[in-house]
Amino acid sequence: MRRLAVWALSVSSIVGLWMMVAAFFPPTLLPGPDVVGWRLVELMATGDFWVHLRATIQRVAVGFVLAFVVSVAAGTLMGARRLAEGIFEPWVLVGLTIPGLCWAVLAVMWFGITEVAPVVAIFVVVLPMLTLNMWQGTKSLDRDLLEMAHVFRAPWTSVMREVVLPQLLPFGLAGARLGFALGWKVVVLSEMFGLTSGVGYMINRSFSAYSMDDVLAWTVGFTAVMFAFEYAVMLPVERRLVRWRPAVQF
Amino acid sequence: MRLQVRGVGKRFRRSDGRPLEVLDDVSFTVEPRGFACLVGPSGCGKSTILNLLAGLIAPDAGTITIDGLALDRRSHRIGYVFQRPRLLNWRTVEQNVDFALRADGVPAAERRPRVHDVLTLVGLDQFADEYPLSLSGGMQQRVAIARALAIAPDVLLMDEPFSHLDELTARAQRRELLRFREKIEATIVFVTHNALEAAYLADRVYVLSPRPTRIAAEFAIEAPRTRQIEDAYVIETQRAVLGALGIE
Repeated sequence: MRRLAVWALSVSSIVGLWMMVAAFFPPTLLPGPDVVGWRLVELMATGDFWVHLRATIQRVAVGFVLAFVVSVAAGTLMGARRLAEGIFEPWVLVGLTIPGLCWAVLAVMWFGITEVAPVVAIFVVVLPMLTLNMWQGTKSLDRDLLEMAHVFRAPWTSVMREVVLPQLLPFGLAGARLGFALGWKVVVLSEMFGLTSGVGYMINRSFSAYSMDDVLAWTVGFTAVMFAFEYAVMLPVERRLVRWRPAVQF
Repeated sequence: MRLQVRGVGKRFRRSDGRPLEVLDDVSFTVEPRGFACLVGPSGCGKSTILNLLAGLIAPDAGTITIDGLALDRRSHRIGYVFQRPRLLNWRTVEQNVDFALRADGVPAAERRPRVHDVLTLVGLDQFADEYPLSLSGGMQQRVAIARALAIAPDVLLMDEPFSHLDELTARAQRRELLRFREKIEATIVFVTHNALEAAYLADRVYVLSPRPTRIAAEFAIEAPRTRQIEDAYVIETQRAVLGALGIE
């Protein structure tokens, strides 16, 4: 109950701060949450919002899933084998360094106005970070537990399912969070540069029309969807997976 | 079952390529259902001996037999209790014990009663559905002991299992071990660097020399298995073991 109250207070403080700041600016520069909220409701009612939201989420989902699958294979291999670590480490570091903006531009230049461009951009940007995550996760596997399983002659299927996976899950979850957040930032750039649909495209169009209401409505709408996803999917999953861990007390 | 270690030697290669002689001619016998303690200074190759007895590595010289048959971890059941509990913290107490039974290929119908029996034996049947991190250190180590006993081991290896517990808890655990050892068939090899613990628990104490390790001294304790840690023969044996270790 107390947690819910704190949560509500936190969320309303964001809206409250926005309202206070907006009071000092003309609505063409910073419209208040009420104006933006109504505009968002309009966009939802016309169906525009859902069409573009769907396009964006699809791109993020495809790019993310591809990167996630590859990163699990590459990251665990890097954690388990010195040779793989030596080979892929520079790749990961280079990949982490190149700005997402570059990839978004390059992908559009290479693949043109197609669905391939944003997916490639997301894949390339998210992959090094997810790989780094799984790599570190694999390196932190408890060797003592693996030895225990070996001593008791546990079959490898059981070792994977009961010893390895539960230790990698927190890393997978953290990776999913970061990956989605990063994917969303990249897809918007891709959509701005070279696509004709998606939330990024609509934000860019609103920007061209200098409609502050629309720019903010699209941004707030997408953020709200991601926010709901976090509370409806990610947190319950996480809570279920770590219910064996006693609450931390300071 | 009778565990016989005869003339076992083991060497490893150092990182610079020179050989490191860890064990040199180690021999000892543990009678069926016997309890042997190996006591030695740190770095004397105790873990090497345990790894050999667990069948994880092979000796370079000598033989290890169980009832006359060469030790083989595929045909012999070896229970192992580590220094730390090494439990799967994301599995309940019951599932942790069940892990060893499944690994041993015990059919599902048989596993449940066996898990229950062994948890009752170590006094944890009330905690079957708890997760390990909600238990105290001593109880976690008892889960680890239950896991090792569940497979009905021919040989039970214990690697300083109480060394990380506070002294009061360790005392209670040792007493418990003496209590339920009457009810198990396993031949026990218990490694420790605590001379008093060895004197209190064992039928036979083997003192190991520094590397390259051999058996420096052997003490048989002809005393009832229900003991008190203050009993005269426990104290005497402790003194003798310390003497053999070169500590007065």
